[in-house]
Formats: sequence, structure tokens, C-alpha cells
Amino acid sequence: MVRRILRGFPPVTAAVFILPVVVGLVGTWLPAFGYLPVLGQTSLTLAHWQFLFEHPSVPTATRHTLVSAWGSTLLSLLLALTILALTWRSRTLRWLRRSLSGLLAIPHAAFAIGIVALLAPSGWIIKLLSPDLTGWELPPGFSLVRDPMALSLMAVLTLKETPFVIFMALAALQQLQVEKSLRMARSLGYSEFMAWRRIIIPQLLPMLRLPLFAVLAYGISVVDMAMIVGPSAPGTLAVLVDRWFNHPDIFRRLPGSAGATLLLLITVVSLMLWWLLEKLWLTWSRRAWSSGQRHTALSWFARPAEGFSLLLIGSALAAFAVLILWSFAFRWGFPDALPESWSTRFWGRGWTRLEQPFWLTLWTGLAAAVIGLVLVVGCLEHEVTLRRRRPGYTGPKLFWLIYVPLIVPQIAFLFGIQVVLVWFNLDGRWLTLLWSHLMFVVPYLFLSLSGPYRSFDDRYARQAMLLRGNEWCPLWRVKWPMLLRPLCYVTALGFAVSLAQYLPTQYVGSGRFATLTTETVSIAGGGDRRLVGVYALIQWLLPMVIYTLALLVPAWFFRHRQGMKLQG
Amino acid sequence: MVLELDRVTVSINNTPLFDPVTLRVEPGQVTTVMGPSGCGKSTLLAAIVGDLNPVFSLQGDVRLDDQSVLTLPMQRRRIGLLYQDDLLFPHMNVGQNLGFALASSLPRRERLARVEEYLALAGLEGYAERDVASLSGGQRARVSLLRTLMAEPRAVLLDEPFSKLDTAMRDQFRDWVFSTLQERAVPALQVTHDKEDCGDGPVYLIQEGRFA
Repeated sequence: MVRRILRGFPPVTAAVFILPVVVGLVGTWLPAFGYLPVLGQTSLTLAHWQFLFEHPSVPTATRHTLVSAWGSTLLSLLLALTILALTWRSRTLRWLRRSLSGLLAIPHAAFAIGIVALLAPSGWIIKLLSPDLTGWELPPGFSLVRDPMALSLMAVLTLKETPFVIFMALAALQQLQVEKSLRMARSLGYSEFMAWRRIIIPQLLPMLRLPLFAVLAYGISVVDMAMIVGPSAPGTLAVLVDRWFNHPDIFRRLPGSAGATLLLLITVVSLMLWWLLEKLWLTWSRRAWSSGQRHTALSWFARPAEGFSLLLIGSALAAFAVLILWSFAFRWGFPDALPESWSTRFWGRGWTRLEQPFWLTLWTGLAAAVIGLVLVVGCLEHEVTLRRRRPGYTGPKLFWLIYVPLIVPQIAFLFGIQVVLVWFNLDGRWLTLLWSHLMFVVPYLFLSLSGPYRSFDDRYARQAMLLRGNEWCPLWRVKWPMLLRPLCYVTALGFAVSLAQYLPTQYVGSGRFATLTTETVSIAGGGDRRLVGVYALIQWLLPMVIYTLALLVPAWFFRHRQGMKLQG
Repeated sequence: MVLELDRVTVSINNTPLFDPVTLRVEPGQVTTVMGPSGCGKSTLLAAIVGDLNPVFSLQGDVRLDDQSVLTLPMQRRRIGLLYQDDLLFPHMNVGQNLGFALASSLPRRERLARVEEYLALAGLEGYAERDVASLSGGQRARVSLLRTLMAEPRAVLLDEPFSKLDTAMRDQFRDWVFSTLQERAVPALQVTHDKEDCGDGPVYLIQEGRFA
């Protein structure tokens, strides 16, 4: 019975997050070549590609996309590896590990708004330094954010993605014998940094390939963060395409589709190039393995590793602090370090406007997280059953497919999905909105839960089965309660992923649904800073509350169980 | 209840791990199969209980009171298995661990009484509310056996359950386990590599694939 039910989970899950991508891609490709019957366009043409390539903003927008995506992915990897290598046995890493869930929960848009409030010409940092250290009585003429080179977007993406890379690397490192390898290397006279370079990183890098693909693809296709912190006129290619898709002239959707397809091509080429570079680096480093070099001058780079960790946590805390200040500020002129007068009126005004989006975000996020959890647990439990029953079964061969929604740019298939939904008169419904969020929630849940679920000592479940004589009871009473901590954690993560969805809400919801993220992004560009602060804080606080609950619930349940504390 | 193995062997790629095993375990008797590590002792127990890794295949028959159990899934064979590790559920207290083995239809008051009754058997009166993490190794081992017995198994398999206990505790616990099984007339098959652990029952040896 249990086995029969579990057998249904992998196909259902695949249907939830792979089929829509394929359908969406086709729905985007056809308009790119002129076929969009809804607009009366039924003949195939390359005119929209011509429009795209002749558009003056496209080359600059493409450069912005490449600089921010490649730069942030490389820097995130470099930072993550440096932090891990140099703080491996230190208290800093334990501290960072504890902060990771909080850092991952921060919505991209709220984080970007906080960073802008810090680094803008009239931002908090310049206010704190002025006029004593800078001599500026007025905001300076240059800006550290929205720079024309897209460097600030690259930096903010780096700060946001590094915790994710560290999180995935920590999960991968559990499968490597890091301590033994390091001890062996040290006994042979290698420095810690060289031991990581020669032994750990070559093993770790291939294991991080798929998460890094996700980071790179996200950087290429991100819209909300790019609109807040990226360059304008032109923005990134994803922002340009998004504007065409939402242009009052509905025929702009056709070159928009061509642009989305170009974005997909850029992503595919980028991922292939990344893979090639990884292979080249591994080949090059393999040659150096037996060089006997035990120390490197490069280790100076690693010294500020603790500083990098502080930067990750510090930037989040500073962004959070400045949002709080703005949300309660009444008057805050330049160069005052703190607001001149305070008020709660913007909270009242913000809440009035955000009440409905708040509840929609909450219910959609909870529903997506819970449904995603059921699907992922079903798939993983099915895998456990197969491991026990099929000789030589080593795991799902199509595992990489779960990354599809993460490595295909959202904008490259969401428009296609919107077209198909309009066709079937299914657009703008809450259930389709929920389903679009699930597409992105499920892969993240799978990524985060598969490690703890697969490493669970299944003898407990089998012992329970022998004692109780049925198959469900061991799951309900033993395995899942013992896994309560990771289950709660990934539910909170699923909620945070759903909350952060901007493009799916806009496209699949056909603009009929306002969530905290869509409202925050829409006001971020030109709204009152105090109101923007309130919006961003509410968007930031909601997943934090859910994360805190996810930590507190198992802690409360197992407050008298020492064995469960040790496991956590 | 009598446990019988009739020409039982376990193979991998059509190569048997040991000669066919035929033995009969009488009620309350503890039969021991000895052998060095890796000879297939634990695999034999996994085969009997119905939890054989799919790379292996089982030949022969396993019977309880003349009824073959091989067609039954492991949860319906009603065979208890005690590992080296006690596998007490860390999220439950001692009483909940023991109560887990009782039928869910039993009224609460009766469940509590049964738990206390069993705890008294092991000299652990008043331990029902205790966290299992606070128990000593010997206490944990006793609770684990009690839990197995509370499920009223038709036979018990012991997979080196004494190997992790210190010497002083080991002799005491082993005597207690054997006498408890005898009192309850449960047939038990033990595998071990240590002859100190053999009881008064028959002892067989698996060595280099030979069963004697």
C-alpha cells in the first residue's frame, strides 16, 4: 500500500516542475519567430530577432547581464571557498553556519533595498561619514549603486549568493573525509590553504557544479534585484525583456520573446563555458598535485577570510538596521547620521496597503511549502524503498532534472506559460499562482532535504516496522519525528522561496495578484523611502518569523530529549 | 513456538556465502551461530527477518511452528531483531519507547501498567519518564530487549547485542537476556564472533563457508 502510493510521487513531482518549463519554453520560442495567434500573428518571421539585434540598448544590457552574473558567481565561489578553507576549524564558521538559515531567508528584493539605503549618495554610510570625514554637506554627485557598469548589482548578488554556495558546499563536504584528508596533508607538511587547494577543492568543485549553475543562471535572469540595484537606461537584458513583455504596445511581446530566447541561449552558453572552465582548472590543478609545493604566496588572500564572513553577516545586519531607521523616520536630512524626528505613521500607512498582499503571501507561501514538502518527502521515501528492493540501485539517474526550473532563466519560459494559460483561460487564478511557485519551491526543498533524509539511519524505521507490524507507523511515529528539525527547516525555506517569487507572480498571476514582493519591487523605484523601508521590512520579517518558528517548534518538542539536541 | 531453518543459504551472484543451514530452535532456547566478521552471520539474520539487501538471494525455508514465513513481508513475520546498537528512539522517553511496541488498541491505563510491569522485570522501576539519552549503556540495552519482547515476537534474533557492553555489565546482561527469553519461551537465534556470548543452547560455526 505504502509502496504503491510512493510510486506515484516521482511522476507527479516531475509533472509539477519539469513539464511546465518545457511547455513554457515552446510558448516563448513560437512568438520569438512571429507565431502568436492571440495577437493575430500566425506567420513565421525573423523580424523580431532583427528588431532585437538592432535595438541600441541590447549590447549594453547584455554586457551588464554578463558582468553581473559571471562576476557574482565567480566571487561567490571564491568567497565561499576561502571562508570554508580558512575558518574550517574556527568559531567563525560555527557562527556563520548558525547564521546561514537567517541569511538564506532574506528576500532578494528587501536585501537590495537595504543595500541601496546604505550605499546611495544620500545613504546611511555616507551620512555617517559626513561631513566630518568627507567634508560633504550635500550628497555627492557619484553613486555606489545603480552604477553604469553593473558592478553594484554584481556586488549585491555576490553578498546574497555566497551564503547559498557555503550552504551547498557544507552539505557536499559532509560526503568527503575533510578532517582525515587535512590531517594527512598536514602530516606531509602542506599548509592548510594548500591542502584545501590540492585535495578538498578538486573534489568539492564537481559536487558544486549544479548549485553554481543555479547561481549563474539566476544572475543572468534576475529582474527584481536588477531593477532595484542595477543600472538603468539600459538595465540588464532580463530587465529589458521584462519591460517589453509588459509594454503598453502589446506587439512588443514578440521581440520580448526573442530577447527571452536570447537570454536562454546566453545561459546555455554560459553554463557550458563554466563547465569547460571547471574541467580546465581541474586538469591544470591535477598537474600541480605532485609538484610538491607545500606553501603558496597566494595564502595572503585567505587571511581576511574572517573579515569576509563578517562582511556577509554585517551587510545583512546593516541593511536591516537602515530599513528599520527609515521605516520609523519622519525627517532625516543629509548629513544627519540618525533621523531628526520619528514617527510610526508610515507603518500604519504601509500596513493598510500591504494587508491583503500580506495574507496572500502568507497563505500561498505556506501552501507551496507544505505541498512541496509532501512531494519531496514522497520522492525521497520512494528512493529509500527502491534502494532496499532493487539490486544495485544507486539513486535516481535523472536527479539533475530537478534543477531545470533553477537553471533555465525564469523569463525564458514564464511568458510561454502565461500564453498557454491565457489560451486555456487558466491565467490569473490562485491555484495556477500556487503551482508556479511550486515549480521553484520543489527543487530548493529537494536540494536541502535530500542530504539529511538520505543520511537518516534507516535501521530505526525498520526496527519500528518490526515492532509495530505496519509500514505507516514507522514513518509517522519514528522517522519523520526524528527528522522534524530538517523538515521544519526546509518548510521555512520553501516559504521563503515562494515569498521571493517576483516574475512567476507577475506572469502566471497575469498581474492580478499583489504579493509582498511585487508590491515592494514596484514601490522600490520611486516611492517614499520611509514607505519603502516599511514594505521591505515586512517582506524581510515574514520569512524570518517562519524561520524562527521552524527553529523553535522542534526545540520545544524535544526540550527534554538530549539525544535530539545532539542530532540537531 | 519453534523456529526452523531448512537448508537456508544466502547467495550473491549465485555464489552461496555458506553451506545450507538446517537447525531447529526450541521455545526458550538460545541457539548461537558463531563465525568471524564478514562470514555472513548478520546476512543470515537479515534473511530470516525479511530485510535482506537486494544484492543477495535466499534459498531454503524459514518456518515458525511449521508455517513458512518467507512469503510474508518483514512487518508481518513478527520476528524481533536486536542489533549491536540499541536503536532506542531518541525523541521518545523510556515509557514511550516501550509503549511503541504495544498494540495501539490497548487502553492507555493498560499500556502504562504493561510498561511498568516490564520495567520492573529489568529492575528499572520508575524509569518510564526518563530520557533515553540519560540511561547507561546497560540500561539502554535492557530497555531495547524489553521493547522487543513487548511486541510479543514469535522468535527473537540477536545480532551481537552484547558486543558494545563493558565486560562487567556484559555477563550480567547476557544472563538476564537468556533467562528472560527462557521464561517467556521465545526461541532465539544469536550470531556472534565471541564464544563468551554463547549460552547453554546449541552452538554452530560458520567458517570459510562451511556450516558445522
